[in-house]
Amino acid sequence: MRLLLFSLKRIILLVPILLGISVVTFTMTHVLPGDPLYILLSPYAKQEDIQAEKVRLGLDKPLYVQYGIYLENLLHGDLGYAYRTRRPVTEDLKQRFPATLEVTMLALVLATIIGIPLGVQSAVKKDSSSDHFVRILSVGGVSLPIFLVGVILVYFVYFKWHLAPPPMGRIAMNVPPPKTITGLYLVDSLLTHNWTAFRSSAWYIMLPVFTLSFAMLAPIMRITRNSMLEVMNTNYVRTANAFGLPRQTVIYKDTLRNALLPVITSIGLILGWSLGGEVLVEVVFSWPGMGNYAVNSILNTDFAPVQGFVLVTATIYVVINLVVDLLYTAVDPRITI
Amino acid sequence: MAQIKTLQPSLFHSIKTAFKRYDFEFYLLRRNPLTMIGLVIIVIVILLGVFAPTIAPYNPLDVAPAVRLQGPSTQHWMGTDDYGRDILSRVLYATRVDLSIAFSAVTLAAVIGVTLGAAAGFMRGGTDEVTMRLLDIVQAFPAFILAMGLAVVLGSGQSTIVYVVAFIMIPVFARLTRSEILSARERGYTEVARCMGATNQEIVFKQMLPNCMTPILVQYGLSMSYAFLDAAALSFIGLGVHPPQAEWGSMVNQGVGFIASGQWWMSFFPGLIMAITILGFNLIADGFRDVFDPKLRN
Repeated sequence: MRLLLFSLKRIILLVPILLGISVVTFTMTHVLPGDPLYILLSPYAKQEDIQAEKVRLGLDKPLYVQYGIYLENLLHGDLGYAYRTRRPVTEDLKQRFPATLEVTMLALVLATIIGIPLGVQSAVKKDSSSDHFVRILSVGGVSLPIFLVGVILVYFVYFKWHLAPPPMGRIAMNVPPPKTITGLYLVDSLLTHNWTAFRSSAWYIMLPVFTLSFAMLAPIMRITRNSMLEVMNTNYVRTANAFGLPRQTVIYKDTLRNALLPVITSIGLILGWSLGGEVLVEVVFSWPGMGNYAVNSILNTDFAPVQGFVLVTATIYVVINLVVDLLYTAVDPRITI
Repeated sequence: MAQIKTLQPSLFHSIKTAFKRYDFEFYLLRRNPLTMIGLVIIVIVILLGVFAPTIAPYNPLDVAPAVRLQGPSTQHWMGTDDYGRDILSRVLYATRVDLSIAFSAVTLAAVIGVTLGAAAGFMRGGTDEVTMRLLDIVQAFPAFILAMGLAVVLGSGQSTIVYVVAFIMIPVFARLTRSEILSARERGYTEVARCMGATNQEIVFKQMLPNCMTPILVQYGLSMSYAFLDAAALSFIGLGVHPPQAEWGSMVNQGVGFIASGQWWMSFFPGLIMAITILGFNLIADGFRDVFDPKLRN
């Protein structure tokens, strides 16, 4: 009950942040240079035409009225119109969202499964060769630009070794995509028992997921390692060791469980940061997700989709952080509400 | 005021004593081989960037269709791109561009962020509240995506990248400075300065900020590597410097289309130099963090 009340309070606190986000995206489109009129009209348009277009778009009204209209449209799920695809931005983003979600989630799961055990090993065997390996891997992971990792993987795995499909899309050209249920190809093809589609989409998603998870791996390993080291120095772990508890019990039961809390918090941050990395991955692999859509819109000087994308990802990020916060409260026994 | 002046040592002396205070830390830094490797990398990269016009064997913009898409050879150490331009020369000139982008962006962010943070931390109350809430909103965005949105509005180009990368880094510097200033308020030397009749300005600029410099400098080093990554990523998606000019991110992007057919050198070499540079800054920042964060020191 108290947890519920606390959650409710946190959700209400979300409102000013979301309003702030909308003010920023509104400012991007309406206040800063790059007047939408110059994009819509030819440079030779007459003064009357400009005026008429201004009235039609509501640009003659004072800014706060324009913001009100913008906000009202947002609440109706209207993010504007994409001139490039000739469709509402909301429709476009909705259609591309599952592709982005699929890669990000798989990459996060993979990075966590690999990163946490490696971090633990490296802390337990501090200054051993496996520790040095993990540390080099984590410095390398932060230093290698994500698009370079993608490019290197494509070169070796696809071009040299023929172990992966070409970096073009979510599924082979000659395989019809599975019936849309969730929009996640892997899930949809499993649900419809469409094994050809499942194999093909798993084949195509492999390299994008590896690329993104390589970038997520480094921070997860590093935080796990540091957090483990910190907990291993506490009195209760020393006591557990002094009582002669088996080493494995001390490491996994006493140390890891306490060390995982900061890791959970950081996963929210890592996810938010990886939303940016995902854009780059999608460009390298021509992955038809939201990021690729935004970048293609940039290249075609169509800006409404970009602002829509910025708004949507910021909202997702804020919600992820809220969920992580609530999760943290639920997991950490020391936090009583 | 005269009394205060006598308390103030000369600038040279205060820098010397500031360093002296960290003698042990510098000793630890020198002993860490990784930090030294990082330092060597950075010095080499900076020299390469500064002397690019002298070292570069070709003009980075010279188009030569006869030698397009050639692999690494004795004539072209890093090969040529699809216009026949020499990649080594372009990488060297790109190093110049990227170094200047990263340095300007981080410096700008540090100056604005430290000012904001110091103001918020020192004045507290309304100023603090407003500044912090504004920073909350900036940080509610995933940083790179916000940079993307802003760069679109400002229009692509080198100065845009500097402003945008600086903008997304302001919050880190502001928060750090604010927390340092807040703890400096409680220190004895602040009290003493106030009793001696120092003005607010003198307290902030002459007493508090010099004492907060270490964590801010560590953050400066950490931010450099992010600045390189963000600037190159923005160029990679087409928001960076304009085409004929060379830049790491846009050079990698230019080569992406050729990877699937095996022309790896176009993307690989600019990416490699970039990764090495970032590695250098990360190693140094890591070394500093280990030494100056007593919790991690052992």
